[in-house]
Amino acid sequence: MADHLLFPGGVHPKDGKSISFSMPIQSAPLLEEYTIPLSQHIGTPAQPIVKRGQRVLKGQKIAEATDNISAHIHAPTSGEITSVSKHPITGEMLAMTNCIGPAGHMVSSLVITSDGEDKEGFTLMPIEEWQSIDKKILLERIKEAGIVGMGGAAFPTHVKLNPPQGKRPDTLIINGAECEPFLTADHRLMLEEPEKIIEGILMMKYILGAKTVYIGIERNKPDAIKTMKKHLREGIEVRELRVLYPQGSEKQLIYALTKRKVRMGTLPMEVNCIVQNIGTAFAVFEAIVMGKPLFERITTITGEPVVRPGNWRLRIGTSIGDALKMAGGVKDPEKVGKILIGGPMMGLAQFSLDTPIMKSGSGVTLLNKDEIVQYTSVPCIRCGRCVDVCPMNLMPSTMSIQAMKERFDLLEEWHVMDCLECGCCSYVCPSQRPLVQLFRLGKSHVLKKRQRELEKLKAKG
Amino acid sequence: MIEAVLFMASTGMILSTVIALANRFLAVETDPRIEAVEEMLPGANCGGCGYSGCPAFAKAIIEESVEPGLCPVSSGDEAQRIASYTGMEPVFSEPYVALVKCCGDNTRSPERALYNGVNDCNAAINVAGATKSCQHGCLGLGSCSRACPFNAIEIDEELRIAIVHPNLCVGCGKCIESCPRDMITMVPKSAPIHILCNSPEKAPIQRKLCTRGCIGCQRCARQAPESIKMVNFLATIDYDNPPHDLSLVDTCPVDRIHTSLGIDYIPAPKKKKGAIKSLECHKVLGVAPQASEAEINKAFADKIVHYDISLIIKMDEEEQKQAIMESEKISQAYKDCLAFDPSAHTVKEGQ
Repeated sequence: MADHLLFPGGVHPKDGKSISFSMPIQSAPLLEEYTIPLSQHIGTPAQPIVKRGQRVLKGQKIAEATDNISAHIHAPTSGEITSVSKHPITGEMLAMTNCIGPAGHMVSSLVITSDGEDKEGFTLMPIEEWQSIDKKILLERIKEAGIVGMGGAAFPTHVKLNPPQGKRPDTLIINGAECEPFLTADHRLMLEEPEKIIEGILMMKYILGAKTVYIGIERNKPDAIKTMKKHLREGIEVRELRVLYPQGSEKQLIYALTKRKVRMGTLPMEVNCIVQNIGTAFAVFEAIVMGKPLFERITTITGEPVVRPGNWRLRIGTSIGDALKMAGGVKDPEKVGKILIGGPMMGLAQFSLDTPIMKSGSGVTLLNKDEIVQYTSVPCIRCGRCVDVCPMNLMPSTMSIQAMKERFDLLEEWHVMDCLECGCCSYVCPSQRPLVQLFRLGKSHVLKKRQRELEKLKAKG
Repeated sequence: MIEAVLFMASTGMILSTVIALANRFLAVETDPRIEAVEEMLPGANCGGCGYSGCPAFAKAIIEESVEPGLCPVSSGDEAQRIASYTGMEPVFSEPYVALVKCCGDNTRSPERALYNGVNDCNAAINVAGATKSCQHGCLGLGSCSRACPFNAIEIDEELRIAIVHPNLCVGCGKCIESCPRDMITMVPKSAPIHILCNSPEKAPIQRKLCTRGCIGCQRCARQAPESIKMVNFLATIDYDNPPHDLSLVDTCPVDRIHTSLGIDYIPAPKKKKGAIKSLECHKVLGVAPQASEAEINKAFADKIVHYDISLIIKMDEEEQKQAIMESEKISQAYKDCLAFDPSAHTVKEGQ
C-alpha cells in the first residue's frame, strides 16, 4: 500500500539506527555550566534581557525575539549569568560572550552557571481547556515559549502556524520520517509519549484550522507506527512511508503524502500544506498544557565509538563534551574520526567539544576512522547517477562543473538555490566529487550577488 | 567554364559595390584618438583603473580627460606618452600593491581539523568556519591567487599561506573581493613597514590561536602614535601617513617582530644575509660551498685515490669494511656537491 508514498530520487544509506533505537529516553544530570547561543533559529538573533551576575530561574526568559521571525530563549536551569565581554566601542560590560557555534563560526551567547537547586520559574500559566480558547492566545503562547522547528531548520513555529492572509492551509503534515541515518530521537519520542504528541498535533490542527492531518512515518519503525495508530484521534491519519532518504525533507514529504508539488522558490503554504516535526508537536503540548518553555529536547547520542549510546532529554546549551560524558565517553579516543551535530548525511562536523547543542540539535553522531572515507575526487565520468538520485530533479553533474569553472551565473539559471544539500549526489558519486560543497559555494556566491543587487536598488531609491 | 568565371566576377563586383557603399554611408564615427590611446595602454583589462577595461579607460581619457596615470599597470613612461599624446600634464599616482595581512602559516597557526574538500577559500569557510585555528587569518587555499590576472600571488602549498610578490603586483585590487576574510588591502608600494596580522582578538585568545599574531601590546602605537592606531586589539597602520622608521620593527615583542612587520611574508628566519651554509657533503670533500665543478672534481679525485681497489685488497677484513663505507660516503658526497645549487640556499636581505 505504501509503495507509492515516495518521491523521485533519493538514496538508502546504511541507517545505523539499531545502535540507539532500543534505548529509552533518559533525563540528563544537571551540569555546572550551560552555554546558550543567541541565534538558535532562522532569522535575527535574540537580544539578551539579563545582566551579568543576575540570578535566573529555570524557564525564565533570558533573551527576547527582536522581530517577527525570531524566537525567545529561556534559561535551562536556575543559576547565575556568568559570561562577560566588553562592548567594543562603549566599553560597557555585557552579559554576552562568544562561543563556537555548530557551523564553526563564533556566535554570541550567554553562559549560565548552575546553582544546583534547579528552581523552576515558569511564568506561563498552564492552559487545560485549550479547545475553548482563542487561537491567537495559543499562538502567542507558542511564541512566548520560544518554540522553533525541531527537525533541524529551526524556523520559528509561531510564524509557520500563522499563515499569511488569504492562505488557508487544509493539510497539516507531521514529519515522523526521521530519514537521517543514526538518529532515533523522534522514534523514541513517538514510542514513549504518543498521547502528548497527538494532543500537540490536535492543538496545531485547531490553530491552523486544517481538515486533514497526516503523520508520515517510515516503515523501518513498525513499533512507532503501531503505537501512534493505537492513540489516533479523529481527523488524524498515520501514513507509512517507504524507507528512503531524504523522505523527511519538507517538499519531498508533501509530494509523497499528497502528490502536491511545491514550485521552486515558494513555500509549502502555496500548496496549502504545513509540515511540522514530531518534536515540535511535543513541545507545543508542553508549552500549552504545562506552561513549560522550550529549554530541553530529545537528542540522540550515538555512533560506534560511544560507550553507552542512547537518547537523552538534554537541556539547551549542553556542550558536546558533557553530552558524551553522559553517554559514558568513547571507547577508544584514538579511533574517533569525526564528531557531527546531526546525522551523517546532513550533520555539521565539529572540531571542538565545547560546541553547545541548540534547539535544533537532534543528535550527536560519532564516527570511527574506518567509517570515514578520505578520498581524492577525480573528474566526472558522466554516469548520471547523481541526476537519478537528486530529489529536487537537478543536474548535479553539470552544475558541479559550472561551479568549478566559477560560472555562478549559470549555476543560478540551473536552480542551484533549490538544492537541499541533502548529499544524495555526493553519496552515490563514483568519482567522489565534492558536489554538495560546490553547490554550497555556488549558493553563497548567488546570495552575495543578490545582496549586491538589492543594495544597488536601494541606493537608486 | 566561361559562364562560371563571368558569374563569379559579376557577383564579386556587385557585392564589393555594396560594401563600398555601406562603408561610405553606414560608417560609425569613432574618435581615432581613442584607438591610439588604447594601443598605448597595456591591454590587460584588469580594471585596476576603476573602469571596466582598457577600451573604456581609453574612452574616458579622451572624453572625460581622466588621468592616464590611474592605470596601475603601465609604467611612468607609458603614462607620459599617453599624456603627451592627449596634451595633458601627467600626474602620477602613487603605485599600490596588495598586502595579505597575515603571516600565520600552519606552523604558527595550526590546522584544527582535517579538511578534504574543495580547494577554495570561499568553499572552505562554509565548512565549520575553515580549518585554520585563527578565525581571521589566511586560509592559503588560493582564491586570491586564482583571481589575480598578473600571477602576483603565490600560495605556499605546504605552509598554506598567500605570498604577494610586490614586483608583479600592479594594485588592481581584484584579490580584495575574492578573499572571504577581507584581509587583503592595497598599500602604497613605498611604505616600508606593515603589520601582518588581521586578528582583533585579545592577547590570551590570540596567543592560543597563532604564535605570530598581534597581541595588542600597543608598543609600536606608542612609539609612532601618528601613524599606528589601535583598532580593538590590533595595531593598524594609517597608510596616509605610513611610518618610515625601521626601528619600529624592534619594538614588537620577541617572536612576532620579524614577521609581523615587513613587506614580504618571510617563512622563518634562518640565516644571515648572503651566507651559504656548507652542507655535510662539502665537509666530507673539504670544499667551499661556492666551489666550481672543477674544484669539486679535483677534491673528489684526491680523496678517492686512498680507497683504490688495489689498496683495499691488501687490508684485513675489518679495515676493508670501513674503507668501502668511507668510499661510498665520498662518492655520495661528490654527487650531492654537483647537484648543490648555491643560489637556492642564499637568503635575501632583511632576515
